[in-house]
Amino acid sequence: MSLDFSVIVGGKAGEGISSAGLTIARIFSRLGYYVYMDFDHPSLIKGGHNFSVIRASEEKIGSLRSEADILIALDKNTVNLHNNRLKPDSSIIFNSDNIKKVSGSGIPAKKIVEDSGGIPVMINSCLLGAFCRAIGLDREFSLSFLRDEMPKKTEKNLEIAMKGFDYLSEFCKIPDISGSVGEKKVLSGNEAAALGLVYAGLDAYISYPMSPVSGILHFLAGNSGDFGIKVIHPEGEIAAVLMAEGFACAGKRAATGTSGGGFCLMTEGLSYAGIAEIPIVIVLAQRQSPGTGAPTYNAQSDLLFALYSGHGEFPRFVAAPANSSQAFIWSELAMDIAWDFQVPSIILMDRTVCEGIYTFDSDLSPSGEISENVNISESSVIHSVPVGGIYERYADSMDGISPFAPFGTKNAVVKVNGKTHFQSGISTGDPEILQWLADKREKKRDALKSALDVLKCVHTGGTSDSETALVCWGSLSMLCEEVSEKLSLKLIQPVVMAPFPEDEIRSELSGIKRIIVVEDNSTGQLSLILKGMGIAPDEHILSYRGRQMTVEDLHSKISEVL
Amino acid sequence: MVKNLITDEQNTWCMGCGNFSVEHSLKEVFADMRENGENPDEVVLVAGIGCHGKIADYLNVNSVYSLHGRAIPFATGIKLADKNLKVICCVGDGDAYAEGLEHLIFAAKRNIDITVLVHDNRVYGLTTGQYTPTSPYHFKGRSTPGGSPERPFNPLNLMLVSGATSVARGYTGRKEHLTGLLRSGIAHKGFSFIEILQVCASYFNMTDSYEEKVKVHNNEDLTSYSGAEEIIGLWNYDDGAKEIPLGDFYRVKRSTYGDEFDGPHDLKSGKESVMAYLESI
Repeated sequence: MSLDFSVIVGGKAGEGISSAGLTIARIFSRLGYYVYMDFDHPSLIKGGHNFSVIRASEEKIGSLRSEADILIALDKNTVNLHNNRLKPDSSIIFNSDNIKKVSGSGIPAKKIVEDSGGIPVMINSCLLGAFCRAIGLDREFSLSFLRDEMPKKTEKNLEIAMKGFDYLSEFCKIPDISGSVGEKKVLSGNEAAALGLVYAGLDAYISYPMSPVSGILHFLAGNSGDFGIKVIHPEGEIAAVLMAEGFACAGKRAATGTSGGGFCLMTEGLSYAGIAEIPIVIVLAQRQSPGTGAPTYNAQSDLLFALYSGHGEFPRFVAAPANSSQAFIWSELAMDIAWDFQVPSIILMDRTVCEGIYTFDSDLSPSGEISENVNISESSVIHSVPVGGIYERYADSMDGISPFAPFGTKNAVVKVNGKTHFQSGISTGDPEILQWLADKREKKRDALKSALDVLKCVHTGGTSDSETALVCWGSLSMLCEEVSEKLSLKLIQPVVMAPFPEDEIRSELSGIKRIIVVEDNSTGQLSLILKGMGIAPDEHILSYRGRQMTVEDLHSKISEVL
Repeated sequence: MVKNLITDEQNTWCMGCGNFSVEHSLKEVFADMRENGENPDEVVLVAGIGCHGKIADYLNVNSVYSLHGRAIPFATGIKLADKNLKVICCVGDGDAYAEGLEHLIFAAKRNIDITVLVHDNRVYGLTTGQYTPTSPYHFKGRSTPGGSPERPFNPLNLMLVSGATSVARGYTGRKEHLTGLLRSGIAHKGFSFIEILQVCASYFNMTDSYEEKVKVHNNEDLTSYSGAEEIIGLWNYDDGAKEIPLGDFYRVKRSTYGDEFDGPHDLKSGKESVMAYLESI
């Protein structure tokens, strides 16, 4: 039986639940397992209830089971809330100093911490040590592994952790399979997207903090020296997107990140980039909306917004990655595409993908080569203009893409313009030019669509010759893939959303007699796009409670409609 | 062949518009740069939206014809991307004092090394005559026909308090003087704010009043903050002033926002640094 093991760690905000969860995720990774972790937290700093769910498996996973094998509880509330997820043979590891009348492996963590002269947040270190023992890790290994996981007050934390280790006995051995399958690495979606941008030559990241995308700002700020990038936190989202455009006009690769409300503020800037043809990347991380919504809970309700925002008509590239591996690859591509075609690119993520911890497949080969015919394996940037030559920022061309001279290019007068303009960049309202400009933008859209033909823009899985397909996108993809495998359905996940890969979708749907669309929104946004193509989904499974369905939940919902 | 600094584009400013004065002052400054062996290809003009914004179409230099109120964030990104560029913003009073006020304050707060020229005609000209943050109290305009219920603020005060390291005021009716102010403002390393009182021939022609009251009145000790406050306080954009002071009011040296990003850079490429990071986790 292939291992499929889930751990829940719960307590109040401020007790280190997220980092404890991450440590557990890394332990399983080190042992060779695929891992997925979701850290569930309301929008507060102390108190309330936070919990991390970590699932380990020998198969690739990006979803959670309804039941857990081990519950690690820092307070009684955790036991009350998660008791119903435990099986008869599940176990609870808990702080017996503040949790009474619970059967399982109690550890007097508070007393251990006090006796060692530690501070209350170290209670989680004690329980982590106990967990290591419970799953049969050897003492030396635990000591050295936990040392790396506890960069602050290391010696004290370790002392307390090992007291927790020594207090328990092994009761649930997790075999080390890294010898045969190798150790694995984990990354959050935010980290992976950030790394993809850096890999593509990012020079500057300019962003205003907003859940769930602040992680990218913090990660890049913390590593800005090593990555050789400028990281800027400006006065607001309008400043952020426009500073990024300023960087681009001077030839530097820039990106910004935000969530729905911040993206609303950026939309004028997006429209500007569309007409002025400025390469930028915007990470749009969806969360429960509308309005302020629920900042720390999930939704997939901004797909149509991402595709149609910004007044006027102009081409853009939008990709919606499902996990950290896709986030890396498609962020890198998004940046290259922005510069090759001089369009804005949007990486459409959501809270689950952003903050979720996924096993990172570190094979860095791109998903495909972009066609050489369309001159986009190099960007359209030029570095010099002959003396006496006339440079025109918006010069006409076969594919609509003009040579791009950054400011400072010798002998070039570069006129960037957000008003309708001649090829020179000087403003005009001339009717011939207005039509020419719109046609130029459409030619670029066609060129981009054509270039994307050589890439696999739609991820598929499950049973390829099934007559029923589950169609989904973003964070639901790995969950749907797992259920498709169990029910022998085909899984279809478009990654590229603009230009929408119509031909590829039609091709994947040939032979399909029944289409079930699964989305984390209440109106069926991907479904609307399919209908626009003349494809009518047969069933919709819409779950919009801010949290991902478990494997069992989705399995039963789909079984009902099959 | 030396490029003409004025484009061939037909000029659509009204006869008597103060914008011509700014345009020609800038042209002179750029021509002098060329003569001094400086490279005008390194100048970037960032314009907002308004009558003033058309300067982007008329001056034959690198430019961004940006969004209403948003020249400054573009300019900030451009300057941080390449510190060799000389970045000059031409903005309007409605544009920079209303729509884009937050950016103006932050540019001063950061001491970003750009020069901001405000074409302050105290009216929205291009949208045909509404009041702006520097219009007088009870200004009768298209949106306030009964008289504006708001008093103006004093933008020089605001800039001084926000940390601007160079503050000056010019007037389109004193072109030579204005050109001198532009030269010093552009040469200043740090955030230069130049408020330019501008005549709007069509909607708010204050020529008579300005001619009577403007007076060159420099701060004798440019580093004196209280000296600057005193001179700036002589006129609060209301009707009661005896004098409208013009000149250089404040100039100090302070580290700029761009300085914070200068530092030793590992020459590793993006790809190499990512591979190294992935090795380490």
